[in-house]
Amino acid sequence: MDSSLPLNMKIIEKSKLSDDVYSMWLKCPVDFSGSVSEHIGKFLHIECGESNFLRRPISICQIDGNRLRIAFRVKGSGTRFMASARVGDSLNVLWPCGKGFDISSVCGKSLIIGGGIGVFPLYQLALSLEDCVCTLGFQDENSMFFQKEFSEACPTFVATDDGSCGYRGFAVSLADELFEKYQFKNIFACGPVPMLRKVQELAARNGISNCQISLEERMACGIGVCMVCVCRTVYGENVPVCTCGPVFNAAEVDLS
Amino acid sequence: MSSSNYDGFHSATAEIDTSVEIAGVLFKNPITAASGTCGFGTELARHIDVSKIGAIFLKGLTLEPRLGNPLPRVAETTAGMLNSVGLQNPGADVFINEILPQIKHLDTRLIANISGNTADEYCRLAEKLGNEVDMLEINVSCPNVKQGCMAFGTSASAVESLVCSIKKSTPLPIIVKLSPNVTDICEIAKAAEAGGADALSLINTLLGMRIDVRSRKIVLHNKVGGLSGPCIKPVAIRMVWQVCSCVEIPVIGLGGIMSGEDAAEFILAGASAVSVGTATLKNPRALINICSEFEDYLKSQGVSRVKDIIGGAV
Repeated sequence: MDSSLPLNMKIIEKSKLSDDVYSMWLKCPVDFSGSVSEHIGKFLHIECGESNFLRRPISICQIDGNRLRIAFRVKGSGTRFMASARVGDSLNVLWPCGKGFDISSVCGKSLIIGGGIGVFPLYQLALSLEDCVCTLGFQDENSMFFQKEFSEACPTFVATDDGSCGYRGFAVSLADELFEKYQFKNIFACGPVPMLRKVQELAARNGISNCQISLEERMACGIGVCMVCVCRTVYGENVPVCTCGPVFNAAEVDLS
Repeated sequence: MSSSNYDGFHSATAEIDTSVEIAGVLFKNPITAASGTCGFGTELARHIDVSKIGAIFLKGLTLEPRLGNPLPRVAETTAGMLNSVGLQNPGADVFINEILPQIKHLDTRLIANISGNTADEYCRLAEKLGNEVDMLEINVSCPNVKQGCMAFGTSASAVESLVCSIKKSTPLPIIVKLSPNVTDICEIAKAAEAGGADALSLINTLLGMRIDVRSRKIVLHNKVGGLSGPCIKPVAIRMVWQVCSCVEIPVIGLGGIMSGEDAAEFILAGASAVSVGTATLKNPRALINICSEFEDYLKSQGVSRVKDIIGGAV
């Protein structure tokens, strides 16, 4: 049996990153000091009060000893519940769920591409990888977050759709241009599906075999039994994102 | 499927006899895992000790593999959820050759849940399964597939002749899973009994729909889906009670069980056993919690045998 049983984690820090985006540190009964790399990109499946029947999957953003950081945008009633929780309150969490980023086989320079709230699951990766460059894409300068944190972790380039900050255009177009300057061997990405499709093309065009992408999907169980969160693989199968992902080898998923 | 002797029928911690018998098959207790909410057992066994529960109703199986419906397949509702998975499963051959060897040793009853587009498909699947599992559950009530299935479960004559054919194709006791999406569930229940069903399970999900009022779009890709969770429990209790008063065969009750007392309510309505489904999707340990809460309930009521309270509501 796995240890991923639901338990209560106390909120020990909470901050607002923008109008509707929050960051929280949760206290966990386990010390991750020796096992950070095993949990990068995994998610917590969080109960959101009496009025929301299902848990919400939220990726782990940062790991520090026995503290886990999550960050999320308020989109509906579940995340609204989470945003209303205060420091000292506890969240009921099923953890750590899913298959995260595999950095055990990384050699050479890595490119990290994040779009919008998709930057959060990538942050611990930026901290853990020795040699990486980040491109982060946002709508405009008012909807940016975490660019300072990423910049402190590794060389970071920002793109905005309207050009109000950094490169004008998508993070993946900016990433494409960086290939002229850097010899990347690995790509890690998270963001909207159209962005991830472009990441798949980018990896294929540049012959990058280690390209890992993190998918977001509506979930119910989080443990691979209900099959509501499936994604299509190139082998023609539907596999649950909650246990076979959320991180997949980009060449193995069919996002068309 | 346990071939070991069932010494463990009596709970080790108390002198309560939690065993129940369904169609000649002994369950160590009446709390079982509902089909579609526990995979093929291995997934659930990673989270709980499945030997603590009475039976596992395995993920819905069809002769050929099915990819299921496009996404979104899930929508949250007040006190429940809608799903439109559409019987995604790897098909009979993969189940028999690859999955069954991994689950045969599990110390609980294994019940295969089977579906088909035609009566012939049900029969061929039942034949293929032989006596590799303890019982068969005949799904004539899946609301999420276009052909067959619920079409059988909403017609008394179709259900009777289907059950009659399947009985000739298997040596195993069969449980017919009934749909609540009918005008008169007793008519269907009696037809299943007349066809030779050894037991009935009810209710499958209620057909429902959700619309996102901001985008004005229907949430599920399949438009409609099956409603489950505590919101359907009163409907399920009513139907179990109605069916138990019109058939002689045992009934397995399900629909929104979240606690030991919910399980007790179904048993008092006449169910000989119950299944826990959607609760597992909220908490993987739900079955274990419900087993212990149910024992606590029996103790608090001074009940020494589960059998004594089946249908005990007055």
